[in-house]
Amino acid sequence: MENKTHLKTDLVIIGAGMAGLAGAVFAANRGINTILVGGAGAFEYASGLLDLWGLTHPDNGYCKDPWQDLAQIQASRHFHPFSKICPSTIETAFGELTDVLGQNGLAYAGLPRENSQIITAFGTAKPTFRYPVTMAHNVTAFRDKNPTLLLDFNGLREFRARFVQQVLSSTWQNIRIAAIDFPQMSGRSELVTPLMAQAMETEQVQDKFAAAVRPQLKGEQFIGVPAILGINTADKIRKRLEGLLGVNLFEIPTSPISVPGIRLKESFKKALEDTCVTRLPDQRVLLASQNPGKDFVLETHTHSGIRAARIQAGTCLLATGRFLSKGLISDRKGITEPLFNLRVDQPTDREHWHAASYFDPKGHAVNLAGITTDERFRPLGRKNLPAHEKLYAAGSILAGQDWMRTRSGAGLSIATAFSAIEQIALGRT
Amino acid sequence: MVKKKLTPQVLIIGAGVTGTGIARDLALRGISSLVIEKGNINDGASGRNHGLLHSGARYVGSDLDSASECAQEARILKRIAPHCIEETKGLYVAVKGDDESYVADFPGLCKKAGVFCQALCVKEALALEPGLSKDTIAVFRVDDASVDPFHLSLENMNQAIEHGAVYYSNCQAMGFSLEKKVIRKVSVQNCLTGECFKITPRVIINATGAWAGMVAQLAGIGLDMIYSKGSLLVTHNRLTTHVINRLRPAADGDILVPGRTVSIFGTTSVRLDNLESIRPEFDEIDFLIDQGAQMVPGLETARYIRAYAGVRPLVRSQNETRGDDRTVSRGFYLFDHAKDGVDNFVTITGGKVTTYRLMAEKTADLAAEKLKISTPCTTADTPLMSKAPSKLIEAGMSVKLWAKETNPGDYMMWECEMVPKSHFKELILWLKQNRERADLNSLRIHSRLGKGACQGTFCSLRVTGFMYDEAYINGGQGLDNIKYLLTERFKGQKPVLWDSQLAQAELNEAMFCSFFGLDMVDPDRKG
Repeated sequence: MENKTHLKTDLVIIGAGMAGLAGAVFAANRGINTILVGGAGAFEYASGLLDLWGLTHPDNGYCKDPWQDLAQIQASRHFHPFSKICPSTIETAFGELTDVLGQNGLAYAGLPRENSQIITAFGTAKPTFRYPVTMAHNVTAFRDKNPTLLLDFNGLREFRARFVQQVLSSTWQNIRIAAIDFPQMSGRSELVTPLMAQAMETEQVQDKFAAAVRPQLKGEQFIGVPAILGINTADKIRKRLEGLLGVNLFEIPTSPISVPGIRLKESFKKALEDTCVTRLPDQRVLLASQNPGKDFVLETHTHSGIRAARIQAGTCLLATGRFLSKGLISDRKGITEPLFNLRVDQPTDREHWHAASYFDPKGHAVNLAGITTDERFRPLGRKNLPAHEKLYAAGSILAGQDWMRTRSGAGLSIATAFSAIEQIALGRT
Repeated sequence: MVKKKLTPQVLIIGAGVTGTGIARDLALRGISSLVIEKGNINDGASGRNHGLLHSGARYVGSDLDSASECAQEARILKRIAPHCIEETKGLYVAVKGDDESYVADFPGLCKKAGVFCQALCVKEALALEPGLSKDTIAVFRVDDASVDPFHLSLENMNQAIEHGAVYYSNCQAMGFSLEKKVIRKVSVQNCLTGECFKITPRVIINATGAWAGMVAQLAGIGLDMIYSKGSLLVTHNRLTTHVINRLRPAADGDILVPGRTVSIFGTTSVRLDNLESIRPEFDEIDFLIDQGAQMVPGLETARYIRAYAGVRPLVRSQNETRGDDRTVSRGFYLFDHAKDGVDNFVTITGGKVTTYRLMAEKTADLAAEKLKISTPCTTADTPLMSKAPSKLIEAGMSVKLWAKETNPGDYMMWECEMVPKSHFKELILWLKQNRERADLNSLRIHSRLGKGACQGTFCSLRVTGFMYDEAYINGGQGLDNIKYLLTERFKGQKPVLWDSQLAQAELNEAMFCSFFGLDMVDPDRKG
């Protein structure tokens, strides 16, 4: 039974969501020997957009200049994790990460200091900071209300062009819709975006796609499609199709399973190949312990429940996310952190977790619950002292933030992972 | 709203299982009726109960007449509406510490009431239902079944409409014009449009359940109502194959009813002063789970998808104001308000889903008598089967039919309940032809939309896309529909959001708020 692998490393990152993977990229750039444990299933639910801070307060509507808000949060010494990070550091973190993703097949675009608005598959405009370049014309076509053709694919349920067109009809009138069969899949009654994106990777399918689209064009300079333009070389595919059709082509992000989310996962995977980061994507940490002054010892299991590895590490970054990824667990009595049994700041009882109304502009209190850290992103214990000298936490598990309502998910993960890794790098020298 | 002279022979107020049952009963006698409902079908207690078709065994300890009446009516419903009923059978289970004298008396009482009951040895019972507690000491098998009250009411109403009845949802009775001991006109307001209109019926039936006192008050008649709230929980998976009852005098948290893919567990009994806020309290839920886990331990760890509460209407000092000998049972209250000086006004309230047909019969008898019509009731012998599409309300039914009809352009609209597009189209067309609206909420009422594990996350989105495609909706209507559905569903989810269901809620919020931005969509926006 003791034939499992023993591994020793400087840093172990638990969780391979946005915070864990961003942390791993930052660790790789700093030459920190790292093991990253955890799958990245949640990326299939990720929009692929890199939000920073999109909504100040519901009454104020969308936030145009996120930096102004972030400076205010920092100045206010608010409870929010962003209060512990200087805005210029957040800017550096975003730059470093998008550079790496760009070098690994996933180029991002956006204004230097402002949010942009992306049209979603609901026809709503989502404020975001960085978006895949395959969505660049989504932003400009919406901004300028250009005459646009939206394409439907027969049998695709996650995206219906008339849905988008109708919701936008009061502000953007010149959208026309047309439906085509997706090349080589016309016999299927149901299409899913990842399979379409996969098929798009071949030039033969691209040519057939262009041939099917061409007769539908009536002078429009823009074509919008759901996000299906390939998995690994999306921007190349977009440019080739634009060449073939002589128009601007853009993607619209859809609901899960999300192709832009899968691209993000693939780009991270590529970025971490041949670096000082070892990934254990098919394992999950089930037990973690540390004796004072000694290394962390983690036990991992495979998804089928077989014991896989014992990892010994000097430093640990907890990036296990919230309830969906089981970074936090809840029962009728309260919310707990399962790995280190860390203090979870939370409302007094379950009755106060949620507001009476689902869309209450204040959000739900349960979404502010989580792990409180010191200025260096070390989780605090019962006496407001770091629970472990070398344990750090990043991402959505942190208390005092509601990433969903403030549209700050990626930004929170990137900024806090960056800050934690910077601290870890500092401690190493 | 159709602008025409509204002169039905009978006006029925309330479209619960009783009101719709009366409409069917009258329609089959050839008597015209109009049903008005301030919300939608089964918004009150008819849609907020266990969905248990009682064998009668529950009442053998307290009320033998009720017990026999249940047994008899359950047999009738199984005969006329088998498609609304799942013959699950029921088990009565006592665990260590339960009153053993009640256990000993139980079979004798059942026999007295004419309720079937068969003793099982504990080992046998555990083999039948492995989810029962290891502390089980006695088990009896009875003829309980699971019934879908929505399906019953829809079939009642649809069949009534096919025989000439008219149904107005979202229409509330606002006042009665009384003249010489007779209500001449009823003022009605459409709650959605604000439009007011008048109805001139010959007889008015108040079938508004817990709201009966308020409607009676419109005629100046006082009914001293007692409101008893019962809270229930819906599990994510079906926990047992049988209805499981605690073998003890009726108490809280002692009935678990399987219904299709889920189980419904309850209930409590909490006095309310008014009907303003009928919702399960958090401590009630904790109490229910603690109680139920004694009988079926899996209730402790089960995933719950929603909770809801209904109100049992009771009438105080019934002996003084009680109706005449038509009320054969103590299980419900039928009032001929001629006694109160209003000749053409009747109130029916109380009772249970199992005996709704009998309640409707007795009420219709009284209305027919007032109209001097002697056509007898035929509801016990006429199949309760309308021509309306019901594939979407019978879980599993839709997919069974779909597998037979092979159409390459057809696909599943939502996975958890496996409903294909073609069946949806049929339902929407039917709604458009027969009802005022075909939006997500009316689809929800007439199907199982939003009732599965994801509680509307994926199905609402796909169905909305489909409705746009078919041009059933335009502009921003789809977003408003989704927002409304999520808002409504959340009310029932809020008390059970922990563990997996909290994780599901997190995913929903990430999608609908963070990604699609529905929290920023103004519901009053002009589409």
